[in-house]
Amino acid sequence: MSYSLNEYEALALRAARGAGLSWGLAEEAGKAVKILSSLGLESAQILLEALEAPKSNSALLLGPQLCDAPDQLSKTTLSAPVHTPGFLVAFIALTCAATDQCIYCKWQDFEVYIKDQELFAVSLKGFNVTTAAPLWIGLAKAPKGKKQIALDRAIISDHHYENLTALAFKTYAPSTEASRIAGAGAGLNDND
Amino acid sequence: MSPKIESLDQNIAFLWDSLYYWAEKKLSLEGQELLVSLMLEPYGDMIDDLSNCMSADEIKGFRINGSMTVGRLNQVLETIYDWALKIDWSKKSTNARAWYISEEKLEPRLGERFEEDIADYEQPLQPGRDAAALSKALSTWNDHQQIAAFLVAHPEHRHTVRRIQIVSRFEYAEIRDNTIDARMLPIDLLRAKLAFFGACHFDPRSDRWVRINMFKDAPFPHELTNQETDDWTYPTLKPQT
Repeated sequence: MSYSLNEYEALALRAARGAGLSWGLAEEAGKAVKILSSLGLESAQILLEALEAPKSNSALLLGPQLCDAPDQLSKTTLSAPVHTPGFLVAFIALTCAATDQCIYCKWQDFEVYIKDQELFAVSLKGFNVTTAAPLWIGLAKAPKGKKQIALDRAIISDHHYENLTALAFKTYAPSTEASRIAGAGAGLNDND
Repeated sequence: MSPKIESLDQNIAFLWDSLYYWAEKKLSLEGQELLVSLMLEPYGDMIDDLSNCMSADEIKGFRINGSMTVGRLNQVLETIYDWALKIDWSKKSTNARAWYISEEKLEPRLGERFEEDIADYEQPLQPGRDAAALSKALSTWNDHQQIAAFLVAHPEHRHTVRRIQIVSRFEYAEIRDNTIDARMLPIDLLRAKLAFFGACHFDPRSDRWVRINMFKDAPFPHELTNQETDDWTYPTLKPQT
């Protein structure tokens, strides 16, 4: 099914929090899937892989760190394996949006250029890989490859949606009799 | 307001200014807001494009500037959240509430932290307390160190650092009061938020929820072409008895 980008962002944020990420990193996971969709990339599969057992080399953790200190993105080689590297594309796009730069990102048979919140792809194969090493990121003068068509809806399979919803569900407080009586709007009849 | 406007000397300098200062002294807040709306009305060419400014490109402002130093962040934090740093957060009364999402409603609700099992599900909707916690964590770091390094060690403060950097650029981006205090009444927050959705006719049902009308007095589609439709959002005057 397709979902609005805001809905997908909110679901990913809650799922990431449910998987144990801090609020800030969960916000970034939400923003990352929204950006990937807007760049034309479907991300539900790698999101679930990243959240099943969050790893210290996950791109959901490394991406925000790279983004915080964008000087690192001017030319860098990540030689240690990165888990779900597809998310790096989102964090590079976030940096490009703030710095007006064109940045490339390559690993194995994946090569893209990002500029002005647009994605140019030489090869998108390998976007969904679980791990990649080494990876190259750096400034480019101009983008190469084919400009991707932005999506304004996120395509998420029912299976992925159910799994993400189950993770999001961990952030919801179970209703109790006490909360029904004490909570906003509780115990009052709205039909007067 | 009517008698004042009728007797207004229209030849004085800064007419709108004097009217507004009069309103500040004599009218309720709602009355002042209504007057300001009316004063803006004749200047379409100056205000009509302002509604476009009410949405933001959230992607542009989202990135944390990790090159900011701990010293600078502290400075900004102490300026914006000075009120939060004065609160004793160890007291039960300053921490009495918690915002959470319930399984049943799937939207943020306000509960009693020390009476319900909700603390583990708390949403990050208490910026004052979080800013105070960040301030404490920063106190062991040197002023010249970069926030990027601090956040690698303390990812739990990322949402607060982002918020502070955003608020430092956009003055109206923050609620400058304790959202979890025992005496907090969320009614003004609700009104402000709902007003953005186009709600009018606020009818508080308790101190925790407010009933509203959307599009009260709005014209129906078949009425749009044959009646004056600009003023329907203004309250209707009841005939005096």
